[in-house]
Amino acid sequence: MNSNKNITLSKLKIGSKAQIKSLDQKLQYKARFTEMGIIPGKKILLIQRYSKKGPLCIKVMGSFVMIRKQNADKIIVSRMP
Amino acid sequence: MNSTPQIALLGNPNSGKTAVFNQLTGMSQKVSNYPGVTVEKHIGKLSLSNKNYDLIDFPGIYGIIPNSLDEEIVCKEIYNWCANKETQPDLIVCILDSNNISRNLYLATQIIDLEIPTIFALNMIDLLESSNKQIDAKLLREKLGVFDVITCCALNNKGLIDLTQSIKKFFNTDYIKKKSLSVLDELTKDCLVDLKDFFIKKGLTLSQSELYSINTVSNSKSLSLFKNDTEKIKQLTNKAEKKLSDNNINSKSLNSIIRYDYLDKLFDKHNILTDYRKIKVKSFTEKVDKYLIHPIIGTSVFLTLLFLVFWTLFKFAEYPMNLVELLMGLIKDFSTQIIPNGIIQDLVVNGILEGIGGIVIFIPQILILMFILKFLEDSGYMARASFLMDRFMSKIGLHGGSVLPLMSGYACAIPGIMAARTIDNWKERLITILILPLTSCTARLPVYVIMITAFVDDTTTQTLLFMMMYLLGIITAIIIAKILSIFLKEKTNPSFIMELPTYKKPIFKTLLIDSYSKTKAFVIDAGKIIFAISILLWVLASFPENEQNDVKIENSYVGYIGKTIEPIISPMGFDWKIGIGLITSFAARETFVSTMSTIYGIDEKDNNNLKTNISNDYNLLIAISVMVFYVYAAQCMSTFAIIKRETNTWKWPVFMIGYMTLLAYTAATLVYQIGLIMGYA
Amino acid sequence: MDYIILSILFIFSVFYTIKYVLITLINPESNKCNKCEIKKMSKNKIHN
Repeated sequence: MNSNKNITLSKLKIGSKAQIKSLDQKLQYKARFTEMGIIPGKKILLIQRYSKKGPLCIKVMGSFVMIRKQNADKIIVSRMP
Repeated sequence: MNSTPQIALLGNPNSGKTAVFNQLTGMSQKVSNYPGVTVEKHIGKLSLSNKNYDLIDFPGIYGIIPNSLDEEIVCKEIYNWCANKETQPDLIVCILDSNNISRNLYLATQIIDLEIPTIFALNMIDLLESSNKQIDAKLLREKLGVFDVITCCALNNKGLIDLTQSIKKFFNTDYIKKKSLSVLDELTKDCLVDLKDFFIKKGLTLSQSELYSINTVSNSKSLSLFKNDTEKIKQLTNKAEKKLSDNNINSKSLNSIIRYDYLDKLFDKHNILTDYRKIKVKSFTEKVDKYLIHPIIGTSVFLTLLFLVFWTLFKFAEYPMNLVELLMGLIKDFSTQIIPNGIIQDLVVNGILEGIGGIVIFIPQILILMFILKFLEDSGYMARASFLMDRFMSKIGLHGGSVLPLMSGYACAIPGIMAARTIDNWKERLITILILPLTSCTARLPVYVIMITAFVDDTTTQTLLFMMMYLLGIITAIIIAKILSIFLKEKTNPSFIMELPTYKKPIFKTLLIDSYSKTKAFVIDAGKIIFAISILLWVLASFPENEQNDVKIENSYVGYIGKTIEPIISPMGFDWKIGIGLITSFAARETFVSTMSTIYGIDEKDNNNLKTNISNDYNLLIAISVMVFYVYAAQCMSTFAIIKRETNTWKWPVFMIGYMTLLAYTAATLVYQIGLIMGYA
Repeated sequence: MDYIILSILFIFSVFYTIKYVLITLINPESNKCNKCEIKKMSKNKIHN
């Protein structure tokens, strides 16, 4: 089913909820992300995207966090209904 | 051991630590408070029932391993508390944002493991309650074992009495620390045993050693805390990582995973956070951000905001300026009557009062600028600006994290340069520091205003010219940033993650008090040096005494100096009078207008105000040339000194002076010469 | 008499300017960062 497919965070549609599945090994400064609550199992909501290559704003663990597309490329999530 | 009890304030960035600190300490702070971001520790006095305590405000951190320089300051201190017990504070007050309780507890549970008595303050509780949720503070306290958990809202001054009562109670009882939380399972603890032993040998308790061990294997940045033992720690870390992976445990970010897991279970098992909402309603922040970080709407709003800021600054230029001139005129007349005729009267009226008048006229505009900047920072909008600008910043080798420091530079470069400590990558931080002086600080404002109003009458054109000067600075900064990012050999960090704080309604009264005191401080500080320079200038301009009144100044010392440098500055269209202004600007940039006032004031042949004098003696082309020079000229010694301190070498401040002087001279000359050729003289 | 007052003021100004320059180079915040102080919000201070 489509809703269980794993995609990168950068491919998520604006306004959709997803659950974080894994963080790619190549993600630099991973600790920064995990500190903010971006760890496998947590749910996020994509609030906005600046442009195709621009930063994303997500809601995670109650707060709003901005990350770059290069980083979102390395975060694997699965869409939630 | 310090005899005054020490209380440390810790917590996430944006959790309201500084608001709590300000409410509790009021005026007693020893160290200046910078706008927007805390980058140094601040100590203030807390007085409760005739007892005094030292309250220490630290920059915000997300965990005990630092990500940037400002966090390093705190994290190193925390480690020091463990390794050297005498440095430990008597009490830690941990400020948590109630609306992000899990993430704030990620740090807070680690603070508990430090085994230093702690009080939790669940801040911004009103926001939580207005979204129909509740936190059981007593339950949280019971489960976590801290001395106390209180709820409060620092901005509205609620609940702080509970906090101070709790602090008083702590110091009046013999508190025995309960056992710290143990979030690690036995297997993990086994794998970390060598690391733990290392820390225990350093003087840490078992709980502290476990805490630092798990952090060390989870995050390589932890090495910045242990400068003396880097090799040994790396060795032990590798061993521990191997042991963990032998047991199928991935060490990367292990700390976060374990801790969040612990918190999830805690919240699942106990009813700590209750959500009464029937329907999930979007918060105010979410609703507004839909527009403000929308690429098209958001950017339009941002640009409109910028234009409005400049337009407001200019709209208010004319009226207060005329009022102040009137007032100065009255004071001068009064002085002429009180002081008997002679050189002292001349000094006071034409030297000192002229000079002081030069800075006083700009008080309204400086006030407005400070107000607006503080509003943008306190409301949380700055972070949205960072979001909108990040894509563009990445093209010049920077990221959104440079936005706040750069915007601070519009008030004064010094706090902006210090705020660059929040940028975690050295190269990006250096570039931000080096281009910051190009953002036109408050001291340049009088130069722009006087030059523009002397030659342009229409408000819209004035605003546009004014904006152009600021724009010139920022555009050049962008170009220089790009050049530096190509030539500096270090790697740029492509990662960027930043929290967007919830929108907060800035308290109007706080904004007023803050901008008033900043303006007053600016004027008084500038006023003092202007006072001294006005006297110096007047004396040098009035001697040797000359009977011929019409060339009085030109034959004085000042005139002599001015004429000597005139050949160097004439390609830019400057004459000896402007030359003198340039020289005094090196002591303090703010003195340019005052200097010109004084020079004209001494010439007895006219009684016109400075604007009229300038418009008579020069033309618009020269005015623009002067302004362009000021956009670029490196005239602030404080900036030079701060850059040396922040970069730890003379190389970069010297480079800054070099490139800025070159820019200033070249640009002003180009503008003037091309203008001449095109017939604008 | 006037000249005496003038000389005193002049010497004072010279010293003050030199002191200002030196202080700025050694401790940059002392001249610039008084601007940033937040004054007491007297009505809101906690009294206990």
